[in-house]
Amino acid sequence: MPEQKEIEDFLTRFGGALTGAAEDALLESYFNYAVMPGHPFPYVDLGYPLPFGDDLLVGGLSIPPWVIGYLAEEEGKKRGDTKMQEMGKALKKFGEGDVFYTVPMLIKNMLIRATNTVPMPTQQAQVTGAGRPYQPQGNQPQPVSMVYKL
Amino acid sequence: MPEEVPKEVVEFLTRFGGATTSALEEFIFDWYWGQHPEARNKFPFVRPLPQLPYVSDLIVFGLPISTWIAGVLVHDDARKKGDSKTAEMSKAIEEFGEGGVLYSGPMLVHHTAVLNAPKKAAVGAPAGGPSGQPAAQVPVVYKL
Repeated sequence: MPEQKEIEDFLTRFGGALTGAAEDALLESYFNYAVMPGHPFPYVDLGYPLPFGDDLLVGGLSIPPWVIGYLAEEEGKKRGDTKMQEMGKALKKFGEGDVFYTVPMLIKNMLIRATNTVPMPTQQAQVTGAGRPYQPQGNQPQPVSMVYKL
Repeated sequence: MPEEVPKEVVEFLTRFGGATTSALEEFIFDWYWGQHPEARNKFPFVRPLPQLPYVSDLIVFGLPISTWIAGVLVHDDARKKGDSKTAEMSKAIEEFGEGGVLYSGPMLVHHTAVLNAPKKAAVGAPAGGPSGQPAAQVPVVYKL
């Protein structure tokens, strides 16, 4: 069975990964909720097939804890400060966990954009359903233009 | 004689490999869903509950868990037997599975959160069904 330290390490990494997912969900939920003209910051379209700006932002946010943790650990080692070293190590693992979520997420989103034949509609198209007229099937209201599976 | 790669780097790369594998599994399902409209609303592209992610996403989560458990069990067994080679190999499998869980667990949380978050309504879409009940699902595009 895993040792206590291994469980703690896993939970720290998982916390980091969850933080990345929460940031991603927050930005995407806002995009789905708010009516915005075009793709304003941070939802900038950087060009096909690159991921949208908000995804890159989430990816970028995972780097600082990792770097700060690494530097703190090194500094702690130099000073012989075990507390600082331990804290730096935990922060590094937290950032590492965040990277384990965000980088594969960026790869996946890029692959989906690269292989999806349906172009990403603008916010206006989303609101009006332009290009894909609303066609109710039976009594169930159907999505107008759901492009991506979630 | 090439320099030995630090243990930490190998562990990071193994976990990262596991996480990327999970993301690729998810991509394959998503790609198939996108390219084959006839497969929609059929297994594995069904939801166990309307508020939950697709079964395909749950499968993506289940695969690394089994890898992880297999790694833990073989690692324990090898340690007991004193077989260091098998113990090392199973440790790598454990880390690979851990990486997969580190991606797919938060991915499920993310999908559930975005799915259940309030969304903007489409202009021109009916407000409700024939009985005048509010629509259960508003027209929406999910951004990636």
